Amino acid sequence: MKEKRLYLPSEKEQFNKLTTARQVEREVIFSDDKRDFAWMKENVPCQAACPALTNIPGYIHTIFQERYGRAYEINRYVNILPGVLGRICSRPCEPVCRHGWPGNGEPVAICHLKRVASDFKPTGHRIEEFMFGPSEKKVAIIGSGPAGLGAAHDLAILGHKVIIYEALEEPGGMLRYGIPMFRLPRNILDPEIENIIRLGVELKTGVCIGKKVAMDELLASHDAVLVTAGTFTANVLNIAGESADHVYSGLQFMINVNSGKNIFVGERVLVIGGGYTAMDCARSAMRLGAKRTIINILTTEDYITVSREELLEVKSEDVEIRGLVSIQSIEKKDGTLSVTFKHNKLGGYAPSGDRIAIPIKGSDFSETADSVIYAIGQRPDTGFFDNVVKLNKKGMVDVDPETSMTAKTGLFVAGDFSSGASTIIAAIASGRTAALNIDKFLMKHTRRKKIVRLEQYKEPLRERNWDFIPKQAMPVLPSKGRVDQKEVELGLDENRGKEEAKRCYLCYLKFEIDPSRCIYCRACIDVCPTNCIKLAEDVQVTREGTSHITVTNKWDKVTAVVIDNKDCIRCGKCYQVCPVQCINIIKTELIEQDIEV
Amino acid sequence: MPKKQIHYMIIGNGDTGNYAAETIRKNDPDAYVTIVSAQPTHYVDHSLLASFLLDKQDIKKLYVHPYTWYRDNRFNLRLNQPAISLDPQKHEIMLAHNEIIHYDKLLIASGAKPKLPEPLARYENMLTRFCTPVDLLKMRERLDALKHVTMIGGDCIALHLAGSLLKLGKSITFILNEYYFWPMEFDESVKQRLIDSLIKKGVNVISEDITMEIKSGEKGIDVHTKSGKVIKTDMACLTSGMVPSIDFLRDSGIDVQTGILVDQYMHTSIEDIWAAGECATVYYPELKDYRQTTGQINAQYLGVVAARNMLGEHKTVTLQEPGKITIAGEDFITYGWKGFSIDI
Repeated sequence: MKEKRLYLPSEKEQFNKLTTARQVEREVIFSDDKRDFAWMKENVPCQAACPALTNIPGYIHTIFQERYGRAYEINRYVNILPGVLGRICSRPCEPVCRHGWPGNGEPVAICHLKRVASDFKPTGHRIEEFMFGPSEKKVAIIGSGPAGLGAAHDLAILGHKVIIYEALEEPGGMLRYGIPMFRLPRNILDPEIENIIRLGVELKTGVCIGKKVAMDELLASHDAVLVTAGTFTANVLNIAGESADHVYSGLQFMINVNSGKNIFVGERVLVIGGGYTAMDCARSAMRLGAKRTIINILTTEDYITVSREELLEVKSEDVEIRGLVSIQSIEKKDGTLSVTFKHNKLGGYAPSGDRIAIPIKGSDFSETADSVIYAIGQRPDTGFFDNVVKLNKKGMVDVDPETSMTAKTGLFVAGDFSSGASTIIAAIASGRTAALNIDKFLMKHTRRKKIVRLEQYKEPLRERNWDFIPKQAMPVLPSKGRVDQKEVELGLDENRGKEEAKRCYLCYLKFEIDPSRCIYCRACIDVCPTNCIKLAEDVQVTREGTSHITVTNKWDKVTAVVIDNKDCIRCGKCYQVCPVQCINIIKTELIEQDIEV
Repeated sequence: MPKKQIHYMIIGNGDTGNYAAETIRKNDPDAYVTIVSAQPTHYVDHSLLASFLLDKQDIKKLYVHPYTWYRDNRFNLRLNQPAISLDPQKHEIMLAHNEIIHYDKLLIASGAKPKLPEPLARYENMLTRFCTPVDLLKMRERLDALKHVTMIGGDCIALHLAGSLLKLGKSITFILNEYYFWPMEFDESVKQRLIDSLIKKGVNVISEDITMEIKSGEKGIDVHTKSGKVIKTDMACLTSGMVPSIDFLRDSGIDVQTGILVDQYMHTSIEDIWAAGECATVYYPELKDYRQTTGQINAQYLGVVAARNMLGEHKTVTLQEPGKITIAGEDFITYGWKGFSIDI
């Protein structure tokens, strides 16, 4: 496929010194070649790590151009809730960022930049939705958490009538009831949910499936049913004293905090568990007046899922973390709780990859506490399900990963409900995948696909000195100001946002040397700050797209000078010095495209 | 066939490293021993740092061994060469100047660095430290201009430093934060006794309050506390204990908690690697628990235990006799130091 499109650059783009032409004619190629997909996976590690495949270099570059609305939209196309994710995403993209590779410095603050796009998008910026005609099909979605919202958005766009059934009073699921307001203000969440509801989605809150409406009734009255009910059953400790007063499950504790209910925590709080919920519980307990809060974890800080940044914030609020302990029992004594622990030793690794902790015999010790909060994982509540579909040994529903469908025709599951507790971004991606699968089931053919968009550029878009800009720190509320639900992270301002955007290597730019024009002068090798330009004896690209360069240092063996994009930091130095302009820069983007039939 | 010469590598030139090296040399005269240190200065006696403020002696007097001692004992001493990474599979460490050294048996005795409590992290450049000979020299230079010092958090070094500053006629405000008092037996009654003793010595004590902000004031530094107090001072000295300095082990696969986790034989989770001193979190069978070790007594003792185990013995670690600190006639127990008095 090859087409020529005429673009009129925006006003800001015209002033941008890197764009010189007033009117640019661009040649765009769309490819569905396996090798292009493989190149994307290998060379744009952030996008490949994102479950929703967000075009990260794409939106970061538009932030640099101060086109915040556009940056927001690039996000919203695939991850639906950029404002929310810009605050609380688990950021699988950041640990793999090329800027964080050994010798390159620190990864780009990708998540904070997403928030920049959301914070500085113009008031009332235009939302683009490409709507399909009505299909006259009805789809019920159970649960309005991230997976349900992601699916509702896509199904509505695809022309189906969507009805969401939400058991709680307000939509959002874990976003509203699990995550504290000081991490996700509700005035950010609400408009992003509203953007989905406005597409003609019907939202029925306070409707509990299995109680008010039966599951088979729902299946009979809709063309498809998608269950995205999340994981709203807390795992229990199975120890003595668990049901005593002032012993809470983390999930129930957070639901109560987020519903504005008054909960007793006392002065001394013990939190059990090492996940994000445990951190949220501890930080919320401090805000409810606790003087000393200790998070107790089985292993050590190295083996918990929480990010370093989050740990720093937790400790900044004077929460303590105690490793290598396991809780044994809770006893009520004279109005306070006496909690017995054992010390642990580290063992090997479980098949899941988790580190094992082994309690040490006879190492019991007791502590008093006013309240205990245990946050040791959650699982789906499948109670309303068993008369329709059989559950597996784990109490979960078996699902075909190709179709998102269960054994019952027309019944789909997605999000944490199908996978067990995961992350917000994974849930959104799972919901959207299920939506496309439901669409295929209803319409009998695929109507949207992934495609690689290739476009030649005439400049490198970056400057070498930007590689030395330090990572911009997120400004936070001073510790003494953290008494109520005020948001802790204050967001990067426009200047810091732009500086951070400059740090992105823009890995989606493919630098290629055209061997037919190269004169082997090696000027590019001389200026290259990494070792990415290689004298190649042979370059092999498999049908699957993986490439291998055989390097040589004997001149008579050299067949080409090649840029290894895996090591390239896209500094543009080679492009600037090439005397014969044999280096091509191709912007390579993985995007979604609607299929017209 | 001649016996294979074993290369013992010791990272750290402090109490632990030196005691371990000495033990190895005594038991294996043929051993090849390398001591690698990140510090540019010699092995000094840290318990003397604070008293050294009193008279302007040459810093060399703090050195425990003269340089010739290392030569005589055939120790390869490499000062100012920080280790930056460790590859346990290949038995190699990499130094900051990219030199790779192979070892047969490795002892990590990299010690500790001053703790920076997270709430105070953003004020790091406003805070003065007192841990190394360099800190000592810096403080000695500023001494004449100092009238009032605010000590934030407390540990044994802080108490020792306070003693010296009092003798020099400086006034002191001590912001005690109970969580940072660590190498001492510490509960409510001890805390009260300590407050009383410090007050008797003329120290202004703030006990039920913690430091929240540090700003530069009109003349010196303003220390703001949680309850809203503002202390105007010439120097804010942070003395809130130490944390193991083990950043170079990040990708090595060695188990760590706060420090490197070692069993009762000072052995880490990885073959041929031992750890001892302030960088180690040691399992004491008599406690059935791990304890972060601190202070000179433990550093020296653990260095010896680790070295003997490296030589092939099976020596179990035991708790050491505590020392005591005397303030205004009152005795306080300390786990890691031989003890001192700030009364004389």
